Amino acid sequence: MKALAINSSAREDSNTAIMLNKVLDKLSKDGIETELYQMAGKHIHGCTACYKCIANKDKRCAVDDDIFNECFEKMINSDIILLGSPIYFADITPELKCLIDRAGMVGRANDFLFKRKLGAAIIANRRAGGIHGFDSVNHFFLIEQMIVVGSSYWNIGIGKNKGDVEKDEEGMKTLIDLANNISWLAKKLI
Amino acid sequence: MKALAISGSAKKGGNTAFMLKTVLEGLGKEGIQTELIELADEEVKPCTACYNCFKNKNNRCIIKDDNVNLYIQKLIEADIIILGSPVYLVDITPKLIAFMERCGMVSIANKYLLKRKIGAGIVVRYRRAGAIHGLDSINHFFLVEQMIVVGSNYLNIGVGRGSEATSLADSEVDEEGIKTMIDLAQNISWLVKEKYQKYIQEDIKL
Repeated sequence: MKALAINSSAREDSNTAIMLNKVLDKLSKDGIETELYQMAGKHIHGCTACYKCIANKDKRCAVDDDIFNECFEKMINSDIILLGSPIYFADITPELKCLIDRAGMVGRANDFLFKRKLGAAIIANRRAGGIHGFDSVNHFFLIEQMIVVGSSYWNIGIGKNKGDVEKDEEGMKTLIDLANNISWLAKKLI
Repeated sequence: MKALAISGSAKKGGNTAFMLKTVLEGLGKEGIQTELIELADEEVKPCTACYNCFKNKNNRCIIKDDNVNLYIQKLIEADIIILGSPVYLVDITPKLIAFMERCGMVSIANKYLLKRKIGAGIVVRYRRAGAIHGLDSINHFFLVEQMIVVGSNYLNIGVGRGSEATSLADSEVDEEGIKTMIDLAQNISWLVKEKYQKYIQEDIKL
């Protein structure tokens, strides 16, 4: 049982990373193997709609000069996928959207590689826009036949400068409740 | 094991009911007990933010002159909750919003009555756009109630044109929509039947 968290923030060890780690730490305590992957400073571009993934069906994207295939391999080898993003302009980062568009296509091209995995979106925002970003990530999970786990509130933390989210008590509690629900379900699925 | 479907449509027996029935049929074939409630002919009052549910903590809403308390009881007894709505103006119907607000508040006031139940939203768009926003609105309810939301091969959206004469027929020929509902039912069945036996026996009533 493995959980992968992807931080799509432009900043390494950002508020988003703090939130992802909060969930991963609890999952780890519950005996689940965890990994945090940070996209900051790495290059990824969008889907080119070449449809080669549908022709090749080799669990890879034909565009092979960025981090996508490395990320994708980690994703399909995990049972639990957490996708994290800060909100800049009322939506997730373009880096995460690039990953989602391509992972979604390659997943579907290979008979739904994400089917029945567990997913959760983790969002850091300063003021508003969080729920829209949260929805953007959930669209990926729900169209890939995944199972999305809820919490006591939407998984949104509030913060601007690095470390601010740690002071967001409700946000932190939401993440612990999320981790408990994921652990509970993951154990039922073993 | 019971699945409860609620339709927030203004029309009885329309496209939303058709799509909900398609999922319920799939679940019924797997031996799951099913019930469909259509809110079309009844009033559902919106939440008045009185917070009496947080004071009383009795699994009930203080507003007594509609059926919401009956439905809260049905939600508590269900293991699978499917909420369906048509999209008129880029969102679900006010009736379903009122239903979610009242049931959602009472649930949270009573230590999350719906925690770890399984949920799915179904939206029928009549003409062109707006479906995804409506589906998000329903999923917000599930995800703030600590529920578990199940996906399908596409987002759970049906397509119909909406006029009285053609609505049901349109939905019946929305082959991709119907396939989405059938796959959704299979994923829900898999989760509750194949893998959830321990859950069912041990702690279904948390």
